[in-house]
Amino acid sequence: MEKRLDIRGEVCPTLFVKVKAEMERLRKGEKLEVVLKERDLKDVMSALKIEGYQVLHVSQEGDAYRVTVTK
Amino acid sequence: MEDLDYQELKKGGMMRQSEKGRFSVRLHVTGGNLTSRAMGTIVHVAERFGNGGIHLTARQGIEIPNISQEDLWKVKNELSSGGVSVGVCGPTIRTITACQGCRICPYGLLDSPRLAGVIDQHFYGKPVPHKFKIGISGCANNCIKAEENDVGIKGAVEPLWDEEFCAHCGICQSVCPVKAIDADQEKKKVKIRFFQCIYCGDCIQSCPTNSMKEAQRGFLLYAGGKFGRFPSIGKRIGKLFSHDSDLIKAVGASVEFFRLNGKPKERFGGALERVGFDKFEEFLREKLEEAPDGKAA
Repeated sequence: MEKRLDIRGEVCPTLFVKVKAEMERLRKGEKLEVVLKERDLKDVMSALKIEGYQVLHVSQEGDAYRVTVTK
Repeated sequence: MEDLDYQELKKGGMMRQSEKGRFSVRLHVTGGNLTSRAMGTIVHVAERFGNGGIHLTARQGIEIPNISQEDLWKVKNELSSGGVSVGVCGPTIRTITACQGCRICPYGLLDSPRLAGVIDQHFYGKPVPHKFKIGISGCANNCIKAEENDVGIKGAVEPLWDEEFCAHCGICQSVCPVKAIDADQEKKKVKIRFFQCIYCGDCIQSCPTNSMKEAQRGFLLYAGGKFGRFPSIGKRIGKLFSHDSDLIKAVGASVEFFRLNGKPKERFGGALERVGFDKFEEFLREKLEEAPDGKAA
């Protein structure tokens, strides 16, 4: 089952810490859906790329972005 | 001693203090970087000839205050033998400031301290009609405040959309801080409006499929900025410069234009306002087209 992490209520740096911690718990091939606000999109997307995670899917609903990642 | 030329001393980085007979000695620092050896020398000189105090200037420089007039040359020699040279003041090209650059800062797009070193070698301390400040920011975050320098340089990256693997997720459009991107998810087209683009690279860093690529990386140039009593913001001149050699030519052309057109006590921005930014842009274009030997390419 796909894991889900909603960081819409978080700010820097807890936002990163939560994403990073969740990504580290993820087993290879497992997926995580991160729900975030548009204002955090750039920082989270570039951090995921730098860490070498793979973004599988992105969708948008209003101000919320859903980003599916795996490692 | 009474015959000292204070203006000449000032140009050489030795500034008269409020207190008679005492000087603040400005040091040559480039891009805010010093070795620990240089720091040791500075500490030693401040303790031996000053009162142990060291001043950090507003533009990444260092001054050793409270030096007696009779010790000035001893201080200069002592600093020099410890790998530190004395700075400049007056109508000269001043300290080249720089951020940490891409070797330290994750946001950095260029190696600002290296570039500061190159510009310093070409231009530092050279005479100009009035003080002339050059600063280098490694990216659009602009920690060095490029636009408040007579010539400001900012690291930049030009995006290029590659449609092959684009997922049309719209992230590039969402992250663009100046809304210069239209990502049409229905027509599956992405358009970048370059007249709006600030070349920050946020779209490139955020794209999940690496479909926003780096077309070229380089520098943007801002001319005529200053602070002081009447601050003004430098204007962007020309397009993206992608080679060191072009940037050196552009800075050289700025200095030359100032020498040809500037007046004493008038900053570069004042000269540009008076003579016309368009005249300077034309002059710059001609200089950039010149081959290194001075002949037209």
